[in-house]
Amino acid sequence: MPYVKDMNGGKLYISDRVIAQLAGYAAMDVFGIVGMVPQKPISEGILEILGRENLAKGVEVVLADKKGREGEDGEEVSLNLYVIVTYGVRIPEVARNLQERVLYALRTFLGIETATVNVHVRGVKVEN
Amino acid sequence: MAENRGIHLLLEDLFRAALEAGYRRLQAHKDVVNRLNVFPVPDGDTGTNMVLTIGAGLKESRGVSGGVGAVAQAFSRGLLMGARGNSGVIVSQLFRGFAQEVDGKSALTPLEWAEAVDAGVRAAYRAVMKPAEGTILTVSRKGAQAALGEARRGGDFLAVVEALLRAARETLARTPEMLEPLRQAGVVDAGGQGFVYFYEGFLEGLRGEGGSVALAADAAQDTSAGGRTALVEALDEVLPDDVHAWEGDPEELPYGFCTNFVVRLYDPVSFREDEFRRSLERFGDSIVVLRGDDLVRAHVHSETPGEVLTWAQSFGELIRIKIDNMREQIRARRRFEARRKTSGSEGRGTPSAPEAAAEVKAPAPPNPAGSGEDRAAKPPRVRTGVVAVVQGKGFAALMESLGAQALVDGGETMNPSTEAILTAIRSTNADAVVVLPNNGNVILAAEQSQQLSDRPVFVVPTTTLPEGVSALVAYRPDLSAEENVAAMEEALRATRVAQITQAVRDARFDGESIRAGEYIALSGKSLLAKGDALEGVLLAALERLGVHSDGMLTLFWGDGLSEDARERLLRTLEERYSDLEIEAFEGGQPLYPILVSFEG
Repeated sequence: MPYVKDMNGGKLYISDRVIAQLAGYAAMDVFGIVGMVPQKPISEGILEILGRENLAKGVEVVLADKKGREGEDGEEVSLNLYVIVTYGVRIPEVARNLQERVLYALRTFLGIETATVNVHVRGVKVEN
Repeated sequence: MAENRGIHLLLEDLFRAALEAGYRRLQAHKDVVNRLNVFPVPDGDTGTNMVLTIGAGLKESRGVSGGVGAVAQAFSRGLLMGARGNSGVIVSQLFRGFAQEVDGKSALTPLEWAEAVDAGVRAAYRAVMKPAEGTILTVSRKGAQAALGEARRGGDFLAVVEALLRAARETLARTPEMLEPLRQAGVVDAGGQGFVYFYEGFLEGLRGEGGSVALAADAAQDTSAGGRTALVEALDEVLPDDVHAWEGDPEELPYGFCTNFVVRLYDPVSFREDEFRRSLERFGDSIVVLRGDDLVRAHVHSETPGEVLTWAQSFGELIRIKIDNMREQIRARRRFEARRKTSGSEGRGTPSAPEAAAEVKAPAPPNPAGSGEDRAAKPPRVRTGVVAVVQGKGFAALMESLGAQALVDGGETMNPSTEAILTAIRSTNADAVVVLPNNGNVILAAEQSQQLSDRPVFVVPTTTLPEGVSALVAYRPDLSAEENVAAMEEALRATRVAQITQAVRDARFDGESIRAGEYIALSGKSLLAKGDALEGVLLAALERLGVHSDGMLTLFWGDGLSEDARERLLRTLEERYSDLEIEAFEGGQPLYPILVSFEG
């Protein structure tokens, strides 16, 4: 289901996938985030770390139902990001930076002004 | 002899002093770093975040002893817990790697130190999926490599840190080439700049120079990587003199002309900066001299700017000159303040706010709002002009009365084109222009106009109309754009805004469900209050904003709110907050019956 934005003389449809790709791309810039994983793991105990081309799989996009009104704001967007963080950083702060970065990307590139961004930390990468 | 002069072993106390000095220098330049912040999110807080982060590190390490290793461990632990923002987390990781490397050591050799710095950088690079080049990561990497090189050649601590700084500055100057958002904004990376400030202070600390002073003029010197051009361009930067804030009679000002110039030396080799500075004292006071290679920038308050320039020409060719009559600046500021005071008090509590708003238009010719361009005579040239995006006749009149040179009508949806903003910028008679978007959706268009404009354009990201009004109250046409931006941002920080509107449909917002037709009060992206009665929602919203009697409350009536309703609301407010200063203006904005701003 795409995100719909009213324009003068027509509508703009943005697919979930585009939103997910953009959010995944934005996550790459955030310090402390070392990878993303699919929302549904293949099996318990296996973390499949996504490659750069597949980051969108680590983002779940939920659009709230539109009730047929022509509201200026379009519908509500919420995102779930499934991430791996590095060991040795303050995870709540990294999550906050990620949230800010994603919101900024949605606002700047898609004109989506409000969104909920949930961060799910699915793993910690420890170095030797 | 040489052996004795250098520092070949870093002991705990010196390490501690160097960290403290680095922190102080960064803190002194926090605002410079904030202003550079455009990546990854342009929210202007990099400097603040770095200062808070490093401050948290020091808090943890003060009082800890047991060698450099133990101090570094404590510092790193504090950084980890206090990390703020992306740059703060990066700094915490840089020092985490450092601390691990020096764990258990009581003192460090230059090589051990450089290896630890480098280990920190490597750890930081592993902590991000796509290390963006052109950020603090690049600056710290190049710095660490240079430090390692120098340490391997046997350099002492001063030489090693100097090498780090040299490479860091050079890399910093190149960051706009590496990272597109920086190039577009024409700035160097904020985090990288913060890193350079920190190590500049660190070096001072090693030298035992300790206290770094908050000289704004340092900014020109510090970016000396990009160096000479920065020196020349920094002519517009604020200089550290207090005379521009002269409180007394302008006629009593001892030296009336703020004289700035840049001279390209005929003979850089034999030029003596201290003699130059001393000679300048003949002409006046408030002397600042900065040097970069063959360029010298000087600032002096003098009664005889002509003589200063003639004398300066004996050293070389004059590249740039800027002379301001400070007495006239003070007079203009006084006039402006006087005008502002009168306009402020007229609005107080008047239910018939439309007239009040109209009256304060004073100096502008009585043509309809928003049509600044069809004035017969061009307005006088000012140093900094303001273009404001507005909605509603009342706001248009108000912003014009507060000195905005040109207005852009945002229309019903508050969605003007970049072109409209550009046209407004061109219509001003100003050296530089500050744009007030007054809506979150307009900020991007305003920023785009920066790149297309024929003159310097600054955007103060106001997201509501009342914020725009607050920013304009802080505006001084005779000051530089940078000074105005700083003053406006300061004003914004003190301003809290609530927007009251009616929900057009059922929705969930900020965790609350809202029914169509309910009044809701919003502040930024959060819901302050909701309810069926406008009055109740207004009162609840004011409570949530923390309105108290020491501040000032301003109401902007929207389009379509009846006279009766306004009067009732004002009476209620005056009962509830008897000592509070309340102003009410006709805003005329659509959709929002009431916009409120509170300063205090």
